[in-house]
Amino acid sequence: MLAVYIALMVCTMLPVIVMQAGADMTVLVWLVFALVLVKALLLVDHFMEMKHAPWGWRFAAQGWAVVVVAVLAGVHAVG
Amino acid sequence: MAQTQAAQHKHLPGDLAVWFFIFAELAVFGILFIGFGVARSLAPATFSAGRAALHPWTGLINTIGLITASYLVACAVKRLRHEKTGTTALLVGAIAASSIYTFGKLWEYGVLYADGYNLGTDTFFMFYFFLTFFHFMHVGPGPDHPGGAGGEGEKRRLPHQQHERHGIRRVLLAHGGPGMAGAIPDALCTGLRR
Repeated sequence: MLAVYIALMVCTMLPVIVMQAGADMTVLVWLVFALVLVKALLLVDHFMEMKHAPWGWRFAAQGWAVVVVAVLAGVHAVG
Repeated sequence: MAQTQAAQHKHLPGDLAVWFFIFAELAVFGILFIGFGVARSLAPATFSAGRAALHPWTGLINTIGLITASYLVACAVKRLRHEKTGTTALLVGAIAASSIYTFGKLWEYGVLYADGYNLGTDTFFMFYFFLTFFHFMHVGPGPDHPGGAGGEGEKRRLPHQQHERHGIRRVLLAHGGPGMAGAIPDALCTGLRR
């Protein structure tokens, strides 16, 4: 559980560190999208205890972030 | 044989009804995030100016507070399930950690309001205040859940099966307590600032 917590912290802090380092905004946006997916998977599996849930429930819970991020990335790419 | 055992071990934690509640909440957050994304693509200058008025460090601190609170609640649930002591301390820690978010957000709302920003300022702030306040209302009452459930758990030492059926507070607790359904959307809420 501690490893998951540390991973979530790294995922949370990384975009801010990259932003402070003066990274390009385009890179930052895609980095945030990727890290949101990682965070969502970790939260669902470990903090929400879905790792051993029936696959349909686990898939639905993890799929939420994938769908939302995919739509946002699509809107961002088109816009 | 192994497959049968694996299938038997698979179970949905908590009450089925609460999962429907959580998925309904996630659907609302999803629609709001997508609405935000579409509105941003229609008025990028407005959203860029609005984002510049926010406080990214507050967002980072708030998110750290929420993740820490969720971690402590998850640890407390695990200890409770194995009938170990120390859950109260973990849950008090979770309340303290989630309070960082609560006060951080209230401070940020105060600063923004003092600077003249509100729901009617522009499309960005309409979305920002609506989305983050909707999220805030999920987190704000959160500390009541781990506090109440933890106290009961310490006294009663509920066995695992009974614990699973023990009502909405404990199920919410098992799903991250203060973060609850807002735990995942929080990752995207933080993203709004960047």
